[in-house]
Amino acid sequence: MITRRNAAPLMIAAAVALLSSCKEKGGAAGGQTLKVGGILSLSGGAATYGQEAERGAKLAVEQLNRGGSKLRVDFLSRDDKSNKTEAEKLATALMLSDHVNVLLGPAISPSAAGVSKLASERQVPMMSTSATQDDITHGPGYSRDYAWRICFSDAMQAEMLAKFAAGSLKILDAAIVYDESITYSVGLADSFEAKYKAMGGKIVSKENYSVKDTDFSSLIDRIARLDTKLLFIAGWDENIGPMFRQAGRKWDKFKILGADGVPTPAFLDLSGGNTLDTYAASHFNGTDAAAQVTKEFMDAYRAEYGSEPSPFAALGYDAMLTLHAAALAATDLSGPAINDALRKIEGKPLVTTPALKWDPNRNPAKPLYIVKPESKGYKLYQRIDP
Amino acid sequence: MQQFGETLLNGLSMGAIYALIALGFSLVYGVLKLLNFAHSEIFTIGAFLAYGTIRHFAPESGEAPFWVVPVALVTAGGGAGLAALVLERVAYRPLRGQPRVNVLLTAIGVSILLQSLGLKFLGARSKGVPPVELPIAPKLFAMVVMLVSLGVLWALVKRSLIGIKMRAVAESAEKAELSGIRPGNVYMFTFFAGGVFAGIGSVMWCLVYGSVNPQMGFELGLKAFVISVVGGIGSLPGTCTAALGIGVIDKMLETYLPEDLAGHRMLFLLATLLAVLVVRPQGLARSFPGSQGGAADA
Repeated sequence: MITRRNAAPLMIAAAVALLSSCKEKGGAAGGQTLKVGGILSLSGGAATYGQEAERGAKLAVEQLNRGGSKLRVDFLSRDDKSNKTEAEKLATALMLSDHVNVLLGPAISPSAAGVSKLASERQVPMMSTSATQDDITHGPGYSRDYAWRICFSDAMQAEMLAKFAAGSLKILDAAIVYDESITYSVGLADSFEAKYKAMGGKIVSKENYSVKDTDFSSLIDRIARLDTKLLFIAGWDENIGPMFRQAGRKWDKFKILGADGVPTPAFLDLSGGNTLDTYAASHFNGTDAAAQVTKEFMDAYRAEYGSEPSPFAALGYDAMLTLHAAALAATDLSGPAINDALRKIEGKPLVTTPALKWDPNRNPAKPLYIVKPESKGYKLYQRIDP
Repeated sequence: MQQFGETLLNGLSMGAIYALIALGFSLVYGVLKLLNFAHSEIFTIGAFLAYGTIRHFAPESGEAPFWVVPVALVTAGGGAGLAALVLERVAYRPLRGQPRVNVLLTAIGVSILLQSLGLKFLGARSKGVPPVELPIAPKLFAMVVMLVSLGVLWALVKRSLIGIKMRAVAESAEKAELSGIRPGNVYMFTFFAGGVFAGIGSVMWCLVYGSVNPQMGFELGLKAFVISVVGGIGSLPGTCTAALGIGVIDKMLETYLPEDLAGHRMLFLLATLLAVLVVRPQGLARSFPGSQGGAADA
């Protein structure tokens, strides 16, 4: 009940709430803060992708805040433990309790699929760093109008890899090795199969494993007996690294085409240096650093972390820069305004693409880099433009 | 035929590693009648010590020299043995004389605690073990080490003074105490020996499979438990036979089952466990030499 005694404090509280609400809706400029909720896989099976993306995103935040941007960034980074349910729980908490303006992440497709629905329902733009599964940004059943990604999609990746296999490697029969327990891998394997067959390729066998497997000996022997020249492998570095190590010399006769889950520092470590004759899809390669933004990123990353940035760090950096640029271009910091503004910033040069360009489904149209793993890093082999 | 031979080798090498883990599990049960579920984390501790040792001595690229293996066996075996000793002293000894369910719950609690500490301080990511130059294929090497270890353990239990004491305590701790044996010391030694075997198994794991992570022990521990029960919990030869058998069955199922069923082979393994228990509730062999107990005591 409102009495004369408590009316004054209540009125003051209401006035403060009203003022802060006006401030939030008053436009992006003028010493405001963009609250970015990070949902990244910092532990669990896909930790490489989230940890690297977080490093890149934090570097971007530091540069933006230190550089005196008129829109400061407050980055609330959370660990989804590579778990879909945890990611959805975090997304809800970040949107409803922390009142973030935008979401950065998730890094992996299973988590991003759930968060894209929640974010669209709440009208909070979500920028996934490396979730490539096609139906994250478009598909039937529910709206995904606020779901974006800074990486290429599986359909795009599969098409470019099939083109590379049939065109550059000139191999028209291949076996597919995929992880039956993760949707990213299953989707990518299916997309590659469809695109490769459309280009005249033949799939001689499809072999599967599970993300929990540690002993790949039976799989390795089964594949070694196949009569083909090319293996297409869709999976995470956490499995593919040990698989290569255990393969020893048994897969020497194959050329191996890996998807974007392969070229990470962890893969080099886990493969024990047995990188075989591998070509892998990458979102970024520092040696293609023609753009000033890429050079600056490389230098800043080396100075900050003392190591070379991975593609996933570059994606985290780009995701943060993109969200910040959209917020600056938006009429205010509301979700719908930032969502509209993301379309307006096309042409912005980023680390992983010379000029940002979106397709109608909020996926970037960007180059794919084919890299070859070496003992201490990845060497650019070919750049494929969309 | 070539496929069958490769599958058999894969199964036997996997079984050899299972055996080294399950031996420690079975040994502790045989003497103390304690299901030490934290044994899988002792294995993980050994694996990280083995990883650290090999990583420390490995060159920047290429294979680590063979002499790293005995060094890793000492550090991982000794370290895991000491960890098991500390576990007995800190977690289990205070509960001596308490109902078995209390000890069992403590074992599960310790297992979860160690796993959580591992995740906190070592991170969830797997770490790659540098390859090591071995005189024979890693899988064959693991089998040789398993056979030698089993021989040493058998000699220890059958021929040494501490082995006689272990058998006496396994039969009856009270009667052994009346004969001047101090059961507490025997328990400590049993835990230490079980830890050493887990440590040896972890080195073989590193050599054959090449990666370690803080949660790696969980599934292996579960399989070690199944193996111990199938083999006749507390029976050393039974444990080894069951480990090799389950390793081979696992790999045969993986190779010959239709693709959509191969991923669910743990179900088939558990069905094997049930079938064995229906036919022979005491397991394949009788329990620890000298022990009056067996599966019924569990």
